[in-house]
Amino acid sequence: MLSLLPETTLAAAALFFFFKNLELFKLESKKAVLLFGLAAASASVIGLFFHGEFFNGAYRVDNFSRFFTLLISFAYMIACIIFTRLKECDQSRVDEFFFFTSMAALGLVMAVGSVELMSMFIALEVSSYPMYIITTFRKGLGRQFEASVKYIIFGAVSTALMLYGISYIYGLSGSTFLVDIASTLPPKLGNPMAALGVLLFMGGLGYKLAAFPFHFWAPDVYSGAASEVTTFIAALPKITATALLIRIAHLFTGIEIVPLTISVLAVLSMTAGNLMALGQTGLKRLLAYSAVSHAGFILVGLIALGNGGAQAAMFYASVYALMSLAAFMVAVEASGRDPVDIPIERLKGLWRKSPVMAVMLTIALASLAGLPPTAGFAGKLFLLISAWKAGFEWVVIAGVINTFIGIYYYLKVIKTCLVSDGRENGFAPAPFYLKAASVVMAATMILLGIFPNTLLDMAGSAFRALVM
Amino acid sequence: MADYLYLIPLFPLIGFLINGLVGKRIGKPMVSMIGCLSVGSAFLVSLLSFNELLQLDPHQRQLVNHLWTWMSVGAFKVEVNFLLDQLSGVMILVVTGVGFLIHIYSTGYMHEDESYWRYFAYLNMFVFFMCCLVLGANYLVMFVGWEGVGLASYLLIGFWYKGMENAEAGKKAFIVNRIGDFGFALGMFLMFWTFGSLSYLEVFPKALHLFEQGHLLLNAPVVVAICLLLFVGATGKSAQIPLYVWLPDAMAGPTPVSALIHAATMVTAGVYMVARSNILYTLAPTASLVVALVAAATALFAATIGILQNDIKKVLAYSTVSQLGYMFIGVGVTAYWAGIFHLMTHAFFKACLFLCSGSVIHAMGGDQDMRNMGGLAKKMPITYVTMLLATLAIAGLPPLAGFFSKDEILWKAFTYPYFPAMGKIIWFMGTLGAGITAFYMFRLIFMTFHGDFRGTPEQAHHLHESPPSMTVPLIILAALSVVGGWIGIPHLIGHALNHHSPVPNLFETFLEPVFEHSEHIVSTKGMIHHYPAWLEWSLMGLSVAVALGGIAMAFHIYIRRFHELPARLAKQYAIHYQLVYNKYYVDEIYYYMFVLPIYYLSVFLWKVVDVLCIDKIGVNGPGWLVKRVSAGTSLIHDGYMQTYGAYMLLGLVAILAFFLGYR
Repeated sequence: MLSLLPETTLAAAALFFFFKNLELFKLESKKAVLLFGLAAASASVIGLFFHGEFFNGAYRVDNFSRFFTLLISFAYMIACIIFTRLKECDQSRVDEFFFFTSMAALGLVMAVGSVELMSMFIALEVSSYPMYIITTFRKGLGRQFEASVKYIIFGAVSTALMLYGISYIYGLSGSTFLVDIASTLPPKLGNPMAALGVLLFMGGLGYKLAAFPFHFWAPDVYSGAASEVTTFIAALPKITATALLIRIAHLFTGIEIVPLTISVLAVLSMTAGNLMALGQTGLKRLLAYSAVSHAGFILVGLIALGNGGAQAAMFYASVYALMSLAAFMVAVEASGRDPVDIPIERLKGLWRKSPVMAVMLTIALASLAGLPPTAGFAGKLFLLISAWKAGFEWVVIAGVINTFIGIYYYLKVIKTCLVSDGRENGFAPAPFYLKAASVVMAATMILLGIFPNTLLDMAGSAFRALVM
Repeated sequence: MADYLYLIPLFPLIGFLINGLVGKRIGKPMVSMIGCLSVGSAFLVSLLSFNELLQLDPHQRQLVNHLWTWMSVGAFKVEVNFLLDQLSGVMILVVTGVGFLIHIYSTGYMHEDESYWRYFAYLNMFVFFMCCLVLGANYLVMFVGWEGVGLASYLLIGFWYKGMENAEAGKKAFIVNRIGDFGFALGMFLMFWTFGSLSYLEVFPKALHLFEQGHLLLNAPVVVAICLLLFVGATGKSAQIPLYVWLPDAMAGPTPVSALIHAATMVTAGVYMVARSNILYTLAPTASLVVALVAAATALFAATIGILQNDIKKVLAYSTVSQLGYMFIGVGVTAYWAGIFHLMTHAFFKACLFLCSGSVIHAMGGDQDMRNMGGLAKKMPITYVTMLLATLAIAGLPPLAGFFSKDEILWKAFTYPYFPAMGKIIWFMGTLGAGITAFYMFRLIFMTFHGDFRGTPEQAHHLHESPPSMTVPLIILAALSVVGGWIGIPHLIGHALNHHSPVPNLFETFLEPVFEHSEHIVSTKGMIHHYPAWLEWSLMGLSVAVALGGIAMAFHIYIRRFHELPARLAKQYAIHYQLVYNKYYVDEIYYYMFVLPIYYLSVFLWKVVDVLCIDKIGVNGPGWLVKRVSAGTSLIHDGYMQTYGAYMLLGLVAILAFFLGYR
């Protein structure tokens, strides 16, 4: 059963914290979560070597799903490291918190492996509910409930849309298995019903990715939830959404209108996100809008799946998860004293208090901005090259312009954290393992920018597993 | 072999890492040692590899050091390679050599600064990126260096970040350069699209091959577009019209930084880039003409602004903008080697001038206003003599370095093979600019070193010559400003000096293999006239006369009748005076034309679109309605959700409409 090892490990983590909640174990929760994070990451590495099919072919473990499992598990591990610093989260709910995050990670992993619409849908729901719940886990009376309610309602609407879309797809193709859909549905795309079904389904995924125009929940949820929660929400679901979007878009390769629609959405998403991010003064809101813009970039990869776009999107999703986690690691350090969002000004003097964190944040933001030699630069370059090759020059131009806009607001944050005016903002000194983790993350972001080929080749072979 | 080229950037990188990470703890002596030693070692390795280059046959002088394959996506393959040929050889020697001298100078100049280590870390970082820029064997590696030096420049301009003005200057430099980089990036995209590569050793032969096969015509639109886009990048980095505005403000940084980055090396990157792409520019005469015209306009325009500046560094800054114009004239009129020649001599005398001004500012206790100076020659003789030599060099008096390089450029402009008539105009503008240059540079000398001291008594008391760590680099650079031009003596003078075995033009011969294909194209496609020798002699004489005229005028106004003439002239030509004194209001024009509209657009987006339309009308409006109607206070009913949901559904409908309407 080694081929289900990653799933089993996450399930074990969830179960552990479930019973821990009943005071059954003595192990300290924060140590346990670190342990499970490491275990999940190691399991996902082992999982790379075992493949198989389960549940009558509804669940497939292959290179493609294992690539994303690896990403999710590593992101989960980094999130676990950050979780040991609970700053804004309600301490009395620590075990529940870990239970729900493990559950959500499990759901995300399951969604990636599903090759049948219903199991995909259920796995996504398994991941969504814990996230709705943890959004409320914030100390004090902030805006967490408002955020959670918004999150739930938007989630419910997009779930409804998605389910509605699935019903159309099923109605027209007679099957919920992607293999069958791939052969029966594409010729029928002229039928408005089919188009509606596909678009609604993809819209549901767009909600997970926080792409325009499904992004409205993001700013409020990002800023209203506890920073640790936002850390999780900002990184992990994006990976799964990318995986599923590649799966779906791949079904319709060769149909001209699909990449065209995606390209319009991609450009709208990156532009809208960027423009709204420009004026933000809150760190989490800024990152939320920037997430909308990055969702647009990920969508660029879907335009030209065959031309290297899929690899590029997979590369970018991995890199984006890493950059986002890095940024939020610092956000968590800076949080705990503001009613809603963390004002960017709070980062003043970070350089003085914790140079390691400041350097990592600088690299992460430079990478988000797409400055060489960071991973973000390489990722954007691959994405834009793939679009260029597919003949979407205008997307490339829009992408370049947006990159330049983005540089402006990321630099503002960098400047704030590097400039110190002598005022103390009282960051508690970070423990050693956190510093070590941030050094490793910073180094990874640079190394992936200089030697991106390893990860890119891995993504390429994963994508080939999907094509076959 | 050349597999040690990577050491050249590696040493400064190590220096940067050490100084940046632990510089604060290891103390000033250690920091300066690491800083200077790393750049010194880079200089040594450059010398070694340059020597190896010289051992080769002139046409095979190319050393390539392959490091790793950066990325390969289908046909798109970027290797991180370093290339040392004659062109990058000259550049790397200038960068590391002058860089080394300025590092030494900095140990004296920055001695009192509390962030000494930060300064050296940045400076080493700059040298590292500059080496990447120069040595890179393809445009992408060059671009990495290009962005990196921009970053270093930004950090160093705002080095004394506590002053708001300094931070503003850094920001301005950064933003203006982004505009240029945007063009550069587009140019690279277009180049890759056209030639399928970004490597020098692939793009240029391919362009040449396509041209010879007749697949690529002279002035093919795509090549012109590539060249113009790349030149947009050059106008940003090398401060040409219309993007020159950042350079004068960049003087907010420490003076050695102005000498190294904003005079000798970084700002010449654009010239290097054009010279490097010489084949493309030769194949696109229109683009070359644009380069030459923009350059001539800049050379003249910036020189006129230099006349009335009172800040000693601002004068030098405008002079740099103007001199960069001359270099671009050189590369624009397809005399690539002359452009590079002027780049080199300029690096010597302008670095010297800046360092001298630093020495003066040091003595004046930080005061940069020339109206407070005067009579410093007696107090600081070494600074005076070295600065005078460098000034004579920039004014273009024989036999100093500036004479040879500037005159060669002007002569080549006069004989512009592609557009002879335009060439004459460019030559006229250049010569006029040279006269003005002589005028404002000697104005600087006279106001600073002659006459009576006009500063406060404390300053007068404090005046002193700088320590040897500062004066020795000055002396070396001044010596180079004197003799540096002798390696590029024009054939005409070479013949005149010795009829039987003429003194050769070493520099041109050395660089020839890099530019030979371009020269071949120019000689077949351009209109080569043979001009008589007397014409060249008389033009040479004319430019010397113009320079002497400028000096004489400066002497007349600022020495003999200093007490009344400048003020009277200012009153008499009030409008002109105000116009020039305020730098033609270019900053203000840009502010009103570009900055304000963008600012208002963003305010509009924020206040009207975001706050009013979305928040107030879109979000709060319904919320207000709902509140009024239901009087419920639940958060869910405040209207956010419905509006957002409506937007989402509307968006979905729009996508569907697009999807279906397209076919």
